[in-house]
This record gives sequence, structure tokens and C-alpha cells, in this order.
Amino acid sequence: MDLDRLKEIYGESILYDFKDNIDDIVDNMNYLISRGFKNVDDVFEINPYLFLSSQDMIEEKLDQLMATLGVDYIEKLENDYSLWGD
Amino acid sequence: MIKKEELDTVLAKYHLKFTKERREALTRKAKLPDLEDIASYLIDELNISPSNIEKCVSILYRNPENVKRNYEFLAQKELYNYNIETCLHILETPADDLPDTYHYVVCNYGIDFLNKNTSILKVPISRIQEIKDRLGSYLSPSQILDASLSSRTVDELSDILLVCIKNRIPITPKIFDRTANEIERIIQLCKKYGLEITGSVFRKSENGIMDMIKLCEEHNVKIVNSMFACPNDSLEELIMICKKSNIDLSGMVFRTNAEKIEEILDICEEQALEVKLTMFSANPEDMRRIIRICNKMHTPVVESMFSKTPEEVQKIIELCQEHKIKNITGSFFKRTRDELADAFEMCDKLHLKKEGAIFYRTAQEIYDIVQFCNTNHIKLENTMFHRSLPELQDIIRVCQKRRIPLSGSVYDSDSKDLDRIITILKRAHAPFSSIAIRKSPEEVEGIIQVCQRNSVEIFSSAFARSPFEVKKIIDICKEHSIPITGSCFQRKPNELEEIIEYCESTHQKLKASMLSSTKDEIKDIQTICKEKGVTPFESMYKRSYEEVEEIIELCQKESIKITGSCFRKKTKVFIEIVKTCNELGIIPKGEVFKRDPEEIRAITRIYQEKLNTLPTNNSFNKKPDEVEKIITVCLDNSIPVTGTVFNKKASELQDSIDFLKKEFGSSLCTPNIIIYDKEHLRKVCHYLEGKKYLEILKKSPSILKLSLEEIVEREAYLKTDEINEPMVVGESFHPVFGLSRKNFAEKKKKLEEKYMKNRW
Repeated sequence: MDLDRLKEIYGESILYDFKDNIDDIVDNMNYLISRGFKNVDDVFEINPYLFLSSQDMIEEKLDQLMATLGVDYIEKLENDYSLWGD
Repeated sequence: MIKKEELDTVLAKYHLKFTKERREALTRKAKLPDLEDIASYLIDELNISPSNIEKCVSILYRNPENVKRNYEFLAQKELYNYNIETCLHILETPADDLPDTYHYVVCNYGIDFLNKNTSILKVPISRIQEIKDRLGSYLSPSQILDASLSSRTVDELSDILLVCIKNRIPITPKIFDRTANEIERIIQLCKKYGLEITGSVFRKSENGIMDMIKLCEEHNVKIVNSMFACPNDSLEELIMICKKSNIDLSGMVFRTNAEKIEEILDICEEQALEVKLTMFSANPEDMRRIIRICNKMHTPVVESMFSKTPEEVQKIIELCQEHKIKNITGSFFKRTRDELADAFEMCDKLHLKKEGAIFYRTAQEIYDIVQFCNTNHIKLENTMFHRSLPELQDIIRVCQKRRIPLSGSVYDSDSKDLDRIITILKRAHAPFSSIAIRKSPEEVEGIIQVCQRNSVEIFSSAFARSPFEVKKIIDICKEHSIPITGSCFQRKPNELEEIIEYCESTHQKLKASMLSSTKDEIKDIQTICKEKGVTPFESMYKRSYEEVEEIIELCQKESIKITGSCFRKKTKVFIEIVKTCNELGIIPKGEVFKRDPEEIRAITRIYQEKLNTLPTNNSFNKKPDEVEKIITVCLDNSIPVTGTVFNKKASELQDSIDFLKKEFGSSLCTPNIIIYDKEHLRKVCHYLEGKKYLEILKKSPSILKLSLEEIVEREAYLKTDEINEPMVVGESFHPVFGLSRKNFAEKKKKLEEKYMKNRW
């Protein structure tokens, strides 16, 4: 992962957030893989704050997106990250 | 002359126990009425522990009036009572001389000095003054007092000093026990046998050192400093016991005797206490009394208690309980009860929490350190109190000079070692690591050499291990084809090997988080997860098996979804969080488990006061004071307080807001824009402003997830002849700016291939 680019976009503090929440990040990556995401690294780079949330929050967000985008929500989200919302 | 029977009766009455030799001395030198008078005064009236009198038998054959006059004088002064009670021989000083010495020492050296060197009160002023006048330029103030306390003449002291200076020997109190000639001979002997010349070596005579060296060679034992304080006949016995009981042959063990060690080991076994070297300086009988006091006062036994008398321990616990201190830790027993009371008062005055290393310092020292930090705008850290103010000033100077951020851990090392460690790390191009500071410079160098020889990156966590362990871990990882990361050094080599073998035998991939536990703990946690039908989460491995089980059961009972967040805190805190959430009407999930119950209450209070609503889950990402600052920043700038803003610090948000307002007005100050770095905003916003797309940015801020270089690259892609599409479609940026990096790279590659094909 390009941590330098993330530091440039979000500021240095994001690296400390990664360090402090490494367990959540790994759990969340595993969770995304378990839901069928293939390019989790890519999702992380475009949506780092998502991975700093707890798994409940991610699950809630994905359920909402699934309801809006349909069954192929994973493909859509992996192709167009603007669909993740802000 | 006192009759033996009469003496025994009086001693029994006051629970005083003396050796045969001391009892004989008492029968010869003491007068019965005076002895009774003094014992009654000290024990009945002043409540002084008999064990303190046992250490100073001579007080019992002094003039009672003299003793009383001295005590009454000192009791009115600033000297701590504890120091008088543990230094009773000062009461033997002629009552006409003691006030003069007291005033002289306090005026010239300060009361703190006197509290540390109370014995000086028995020395006449004339001697201190003479030593100061003749030798003062070679001695520090405390060394002047040490020299004054010795039995050497000023000429003898002068010779000793010359030898010390010539041979660069540290001047410690024990050095004055030897003559200049003896010191010179001991130095030669140490040099011959490669022994480090510290103050301790002068505790033994030349012959004594020679015998000790032979003994250690016979038993194949490394010589340690504390052996010099141990008589050679006890040394052999101690070595045998320590070897038998697997006790580290260092430190305090050589300051006691075999019988005491065996008794202390029995006590530790009975009470299930972990054997610590410092315990060996304690008296077993006092240890038992201290344990009884702790049980009676419902206080856990801590190792540092054993450096105090039982009476003092009781007084300290009472003081802590008066101040409603729930967690009575070892640091409360670093000082006397009276000093602690002063320190508590100072903590209240300065609004400092009564915890941690703060009680390593006196009230005055605490005040000086806090003042120094305030004046120099340095963040006060609890670890600072491990050091004196001059030591702290040195450390801060080194950090500032070497551009090392001041954090709690830098105060763990002294300034000279810190400076050397920084140099070693810098030369090896290794990152500065707070763990490395806890090691000696030699060990840091050794670890770096092992990593370099094996072409392994120097990870900070490697400094938690010894050079030998680092080498072993590297070998294990290579043998099992495990990538060497920082996590591998979290465990000792044998533990790491066990975990790897367990993962291999159960066909599971080794995860970094597993290395927070031992193999047995991992196995237990995975078994309980299987039994309860729960997926193992990373954070579980930071908890014990019992805690994992308890949390799972509580979640199932309270219908809380089990996720990794539930295992962030210990069970006790987790239960309290759930209770607090239920009480406040907050759903116990997600980020809420990042905070303690008190913090949850504080954040809820802040939300209700400022926004009149319950907090959002994201707000628990930050501590209460930061939540308050973030809300204030948003309200002051009329920005809605959404969950997004709690991803950043208030100061960072303010920086971005200030920049946006100054350059583009307040319309760009929305939660989804202010969370980006100010410099990034400066580059991208100016670029988009040049293209007159700032209005689009307000509606479609996710373009900010790309760096300026990426935006320009995607814009160039759109401009190619094959694509030729505008950057903005309707009211949003073109979907190409929403492509993931991987997808955009694929699209670009395809376009390049097409272009190359057409060209040919």
C-alpha cells in the first residue's frame, strides 16, 4: 500500500491512526474478504477511514449500499469508489 | 552493671530482641532506670518500632534527657519523622550541638539534603566546615557530607581524593572506609581481573576480593556488584541456594543471608507472590506482618512495601485510603508516609493525578518539575518523575539537539545513554525507537549487528529482545519460511517456534495478532470460539482465554453483536461500558468500546450540552476533551457536526478551515472537505479553481481522495483522442475520477495497447 500517498492526502495523523487501530484494520479487511471483495487493498487506499471504524459500522454501511446498489453491489463498489459516499 | 535477668525482663516487656553480644554490651554500659526510661519514651510515647531500636542498641545506654531534648527539637523541624525513627543514633548527639549542626546543614545544603543524609546530624559543624574549606573544590555538596560522616581525618580524606581523581574512581560513601593505599591496591587488583571499578568494590579488603574471585571461579559464577557487600563465608551458601531455587545471581541476594532467603522463598510460595530480587533486602518477620496488614486492610501486596517497616506500610495504606486512592501501587511505597502526605498535598495544589511515578519525587521536586515544564512549554509526562530535574533538563537538551520528539519513553534512559543510542541508531539508518532507549547502548549495537549480518530490516520491536534472541528469531523465521516482520519479535524465540508449529499442525496461517499470545493461549481462545460458534477476531489474542469467554457470554446474554471491538478492553471495563450505555440510552456497539465508562459519560454530557442530542457512534473515536474541541470548531464555523469530523483532530480541522476560508471563503468548509490535509487541499483546490470547478467540488468532494498528480493523470486520459470526454459530466466529476486505482491502471493500459496497435 502507498502509505506516503495516504499521508499526503489525509495528513500524517492517519499513520498514527493506522498504528493504533491495526487490529480493527485487519479484522475489517478479513470481513470485506468474507463478504466477497477481491481488491481489499484498493478499497483501503481509497477509503482508509472506513477501515478505522468498527466492524459493526462497516457492516451497517455495506448493508445500506447493498440495498441501494443491488446484488452486484461488490462489483459496482470495486469499480467506482465514489459510490461509497463520503 | 545490670543483672542479666533484669535486662531480659525489660527487653521482653518492650519486645526488644538483641544478640548475645549486644545484650552483654547493654549489661555493661546501660543503667536500668535510664534504659527503661528511653525504651518507654521511644516505644510507648513515640510509637517507634522496636526493630528500629534493635538496629541502634547504643541509644539505650545514653542519657534519657539528652535523647528527649534532641527528639523534641527535631520534631518541631521540617525533618521527616520517619528519618528520625530510622536513624535513632542522631538522638545520641550532645543536645547542645545538634541544633547548631541542624541549622548549618539546612542553611548550606537545604532540608532535602538533610532528609537524605539524616546521620549528618551527629557530626560537629567544625568537621563539616573544615572538610568543605579544604576539599570543597573536589567534592559535591553531598560528598562533603559523606566525607564528614566517615571516620577518616581530613588529611586521610585528602589522600583518598587524590587517588580517586588520579584513577577516575567515583567518590561514593564506602570509599572513605579504605585508606588511600588500600584503594590503590584494590584498583590494581580489579584491573588485573577485569572487574569494573565501582563504589561497591571498596566494600571489601584486597584479600576479601581475592577470596571472592576464587570462590566465583570455583562455582563458575559471574561476579556482580552486590557480592562485594556480602561476607565471603555467606557468599558460597547464597550461591548454592540461588542455583537450587533458580534465582538470578544478582542484586539483593548478596545483601542478605541464606536463612533469610529460604524463609522469604517460603513466604512467597505460601502467598503465591512472584519472587523479586528486591524482596531479599526485607526481614522475613516484617514481611509476614506486612502481608497480615494488607489482608486486614484489603490491599494487594506489592513488592516495594517490603522496603518499609510494617508500621510505615500501615500508615501509607491509611493515608491512601483517606485520599480515596483505589489502586494502591508500588510507587506509593517509594517514599515515607510523611513525604507522601506532602506529595499528595502538592498534587492537589497542582491538579495532578495521584498515580504512577509521581511519588518517586518529593513535593518540592514535583513542584519544580511542573514549573519547569510550564515555563518551557513542555508536555508533562508521568515518566518524567522517574528523573530529577537536572537529569530531565539534560535529557530534554539531548532530544532537542538530536531532534527527537519528547515522549514519555525518552525519560526512561539517562541523557548520556540516550545520546549514545541515538548515534548508534542514526549510524545504522535505523528509525528512532522508544523501545531501544530501555536497552543499554551495547545491547542496541548488538541487535543492530545481528540484523545487519542477516540482512534483516531493523524493526523497533527487535529492541525488546536480547541480541541472542533476535538471532534465534531470525533463524526460526527463515527455517519455517515466515516473513520477518516487527511482530515476530513480540515473543521469545521458543514461544514463537511453538506458535509457528501450532499453526502448521492446524493448517492455519500465522497472523501478526496471534503473537500477542502464547501457543496455549491461542489454542484456548480458538477452542472457546469454536464451542461458542464465534469467529476469532484479531483483538481477542490480546485478552486472556477467560476474558474472551466472559465477553462472548455477556454479548450473547445482552444481544450485543460480537465483533473485534468488544475485545478492546478488559472484561471488567467491558461490563461497565455495557452498563453505562444501557443507562445513557446508547447502543453498545462499534466505536463506543474504544472509550472507558467515564469517557462515555463525558462525551454524552458534551453532546447534550452543546447539541442537545445523543452522541453519534463516530464521536467515540476521540477522547472527551478532543470531542469538545471538534464540536466547538464546527459550531464556531457553522459546520454540521457529522460523524466524519471525528476522524481528525480539532487542530487539524481548524487548519484546513482557516486555509479554505482565507483562500476561497466559507462555502467549501463542509465536513467532507475539511477532513483532508491542508497542503493537499491547497494543491487540489487551486488547481480546480483554475478550471472553475470549485462549485462541482462542493457537490462531488470524493475527487479529493486522489492526489493532484492522479487527478492530472486521469484528466489527461480523458483528453486523449480515443476518449475525448470532459472532466465534468452534469453536476459531478467524470466517473473516471471515481475508478479504483487498479481499474484506472487497467483502462489506461488498454488504451495504450490500442494506441500502439493503431500506430503500427
